[in-house]
Amino acid sequence: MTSYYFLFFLNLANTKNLCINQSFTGFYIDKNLFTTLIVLIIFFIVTLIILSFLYLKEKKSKKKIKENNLLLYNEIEKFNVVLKATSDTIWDWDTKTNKFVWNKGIEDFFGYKKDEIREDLQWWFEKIHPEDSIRMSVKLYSFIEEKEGKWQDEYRFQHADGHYCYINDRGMLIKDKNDNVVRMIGAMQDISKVKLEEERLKLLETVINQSSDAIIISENNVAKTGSTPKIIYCNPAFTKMSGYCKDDILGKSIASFLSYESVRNNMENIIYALRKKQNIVFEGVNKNKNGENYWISCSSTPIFDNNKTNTHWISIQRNITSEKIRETERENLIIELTKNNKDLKQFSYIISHNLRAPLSNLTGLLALLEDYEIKETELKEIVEGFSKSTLLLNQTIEDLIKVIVIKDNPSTLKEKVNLKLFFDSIINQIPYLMETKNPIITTSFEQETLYINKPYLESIVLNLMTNALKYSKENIKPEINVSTKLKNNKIEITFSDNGLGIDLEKNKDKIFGLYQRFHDYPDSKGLGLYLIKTQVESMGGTISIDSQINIGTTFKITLNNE
Amino acid sequence: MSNSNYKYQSVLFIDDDPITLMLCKKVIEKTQFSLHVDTLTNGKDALKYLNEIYEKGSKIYPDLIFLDLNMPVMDGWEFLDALSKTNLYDSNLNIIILSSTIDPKDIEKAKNYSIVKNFISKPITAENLLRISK
Repeated sequence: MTSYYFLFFLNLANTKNLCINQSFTGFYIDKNLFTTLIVLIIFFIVTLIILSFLYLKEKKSKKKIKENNLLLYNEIEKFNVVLKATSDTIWDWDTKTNKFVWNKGIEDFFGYKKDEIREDLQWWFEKIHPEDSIRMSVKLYSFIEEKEGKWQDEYRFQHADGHYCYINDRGMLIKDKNDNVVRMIGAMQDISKVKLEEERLKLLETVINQSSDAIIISENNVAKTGSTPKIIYCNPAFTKMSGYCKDDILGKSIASFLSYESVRNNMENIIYALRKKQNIVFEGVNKNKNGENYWISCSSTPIFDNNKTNTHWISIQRNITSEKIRETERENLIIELTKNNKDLKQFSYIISHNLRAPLSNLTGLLALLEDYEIKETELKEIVEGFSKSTLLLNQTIEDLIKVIVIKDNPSTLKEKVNLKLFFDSIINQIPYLMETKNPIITTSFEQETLYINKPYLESIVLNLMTNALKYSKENIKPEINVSTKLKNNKIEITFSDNGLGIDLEKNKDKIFGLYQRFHDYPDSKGLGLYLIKTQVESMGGTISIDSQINIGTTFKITLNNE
Repeated sequence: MSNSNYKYQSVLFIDDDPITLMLCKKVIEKTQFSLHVDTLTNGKDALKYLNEIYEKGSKIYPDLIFLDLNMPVMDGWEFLDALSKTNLYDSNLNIIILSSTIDPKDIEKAKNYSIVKNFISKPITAENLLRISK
């Protein structure tokens, strides 16, 4: 353009017959030359003006471009920051070509490497959980069909490590001038944590709803209103327990369900706990809608927010009415039994003492009578009968007393007992039976001594021995075998005979019972085995019996070896 | 029968039961256990009796005192407690409990009194007496 402009001015000079050479050679300035000079000057001035205008214009436009560039740069920066800051994964889908482009989120949040990502629609669908893909694609394509509003869906998307993440995906369509969809842009957000939390909450809700304990949430409005916390939630168990519907319950305090007496008994503690914001556990009586009382065990716990402000109270109430009834019954029973037991004990001591006192006189008097010679046969018989009866009565009372004493004073005193010497002394105590029955006695003691309650052991062995001799078979020499064995840190004492035996089938349950007699023997009192069992058990041991009629009896006593 | 055959000069029985007292006297006589036998029927009388001896200054106490536990007016335990508050307690009194009690706690309780030298279960017999004699 500049060249055209220059030529224009040159032509103008020529048309005026301007000859520059001529004018300069002869130093002659004619009129034409002057005109040409003026034109040239004007030409330069105009050129200068145009040039400066153009320069200024360009300078201005450069500045504007620079400014625009800066603005754009800032915007891009901002966008990048947003992209970086967002936890969303952005995708861009060209609906015509099905090209599918991801932002860096697919690498950062889903662990895919660049070479693993295919930029096509198919790849996206492949990564969607099979159970979700059909539902999700139906919703997506119908949205594209409708071309209206925004798209949002939740589905599971596979992470590079194989597991599925819960995704919330939101998308928008981009349309051309003709309203055809050309692109869709979406933002995926990993909501796995939210989903897990949702499921956890659902589970918790189930627990709360299914719980047979009442769960009550009260809002702490003490500071605001000065009143007790008001119930804002209760589970079905509480409506069932109290008989009230939710509307009746909400807005009240848990204390308003307590009976007057329970309020009086617990209010001080409740107020203290409210003031101190401390957990409180109490038992009380609630009144249900029908006015009936029911016992509750209540535990209330303060709940604090992040600012450590006590915002709520959670109370758990359990209906303990049946437990309370049972407890009361049990307590009454225990009181009654203890009293009865005490009375009986006292009674048995008094009875035995009162029986013993005159009986001891009888025994003493009979002993004195032995010094007198009774000549009259009939009187002698009477005195003998009197003497025998007194002796038997005395033995019975002595045995009964032993039982009473054992029951009231469990065995504690133990001493070392040499078994051989001990056994000899037992035999010496029953000279009459030994002489008349003349038994064969064999002993085998695995250990020389036992650490044991000697009087009890003496009573037990003496009883077993006399039983074995008394209830021996006629015309057959009694054989008695006594042995001790150490087995698993327990002492096993076995006592067997070849006597009459006991019919265990008939008597199994009452063999060690009180006043049980299994043989018709004149001085049998039916106390022996009961006494033995009482003594064995008082030493922390057990006793068992094995017996066959006309073959014999074996007793096995097991005691702890200490 | 000379006095030297007797083991003791005098014994005292404190018991409310006349038959027991009769029986005891007989056994004592028969076994020549003591030359004199005195009997009292409750603790209160016994305390009075012993105090009188003390006040007279004769200091001739019974060699042995047989004490029943179960008695009216003042029982054996009350007697022992009352006695322990007097000057007599530290004198050389020898008390033997003669009772038909079967409560082991009684035997344990008797051990708390240093003055009680023995515990005999009724009835009194020649063997019993032999066991406690010097």
